[in-house]
Amino acid sequence: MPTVGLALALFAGAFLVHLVRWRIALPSATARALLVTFVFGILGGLVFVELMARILPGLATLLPPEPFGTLQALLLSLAFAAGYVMTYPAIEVESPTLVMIQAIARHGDEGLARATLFAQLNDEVLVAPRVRDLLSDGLAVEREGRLHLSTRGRRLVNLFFIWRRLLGASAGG
Amino acid sequence: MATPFWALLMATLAVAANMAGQIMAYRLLRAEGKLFKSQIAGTLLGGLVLALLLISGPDASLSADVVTADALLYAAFCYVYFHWNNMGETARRIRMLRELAAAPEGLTFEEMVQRYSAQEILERRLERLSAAGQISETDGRLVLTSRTVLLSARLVGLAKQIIFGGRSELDEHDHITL
Repeated sequence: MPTVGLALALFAGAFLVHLVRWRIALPSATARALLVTFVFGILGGLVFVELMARILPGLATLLPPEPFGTLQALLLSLAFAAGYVMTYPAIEVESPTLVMIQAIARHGDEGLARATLFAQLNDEVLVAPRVRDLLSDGLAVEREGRLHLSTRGRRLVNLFFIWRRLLGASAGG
Repeated sequence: MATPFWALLMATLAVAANMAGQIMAYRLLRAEGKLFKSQIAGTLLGGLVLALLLISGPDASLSADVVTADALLYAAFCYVYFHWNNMGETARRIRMLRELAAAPEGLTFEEMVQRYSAQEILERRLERLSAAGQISETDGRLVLTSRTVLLSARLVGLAKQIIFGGRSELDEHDHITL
């Protein structure tokens, strides 16, 4: 399985870089740092593997025999990375749904009082960190105490507007 | 022509069929939960297109490796697309960006909270969990009725442990005893 094997190896290499980097110090703009880590990690990994294959001819037999095979492996590893990048926010930040479910589960058959849930998971817990994320990821800027969309934020929101218009969907959120 | 070229073309066509199928299904469906149902419809249509192309396509000599890579490529796309759709529907950051887009003069934190408060966030999610049969409510007390989402929560907890060594942003809030 040279194509699948190469794709998994490239993804695993980039994931390892990500893991080490995050354990040393969490980047401030994590979304951008994650994208950069995976794209450059995978591309760098491919260059490394190709160079090693020239030095170690035995390695070349484990790689896809055709250039399109290498391209397919590259796309597959980037697709794995895209899947991880989409999952990452649920790991990094506390998902209200998952926090609620775990809290409700902990209270067993007697149940968790709705009032307790609403009192503890307040604006400071659920809203303020996401506002800070918008600023640190460069999606919003603060001017004179007011938040405004940045150019990057506008691009992202426009993409969702177009997408939801295509679906014929409501605002969501 | 090299065989993986056809494989890439087939995966691209399957992705296009998935997206077209999902959009059509979303527009045609009227029922509750149509986003999820339309995603299932799109995934099945794209998968069918990929299978048909792999069986009867221009190159019948594709290796098991190339076919597996194609199937995984399509599966990875489906996963990313599923999250993309859900982000547009439920992600707090995307909702906040929309609120900012609708306010050319900008918003203060208090104004942002007025438009999208923790209360609204919780109400919406409780409603969804209840509609999905994950929880029930009796006399103001919430009880777990299915363990599906709980399993996801535990998997995410495990990933958090691996990547962040178990650090949580809730640790900053001493008042949380849930």
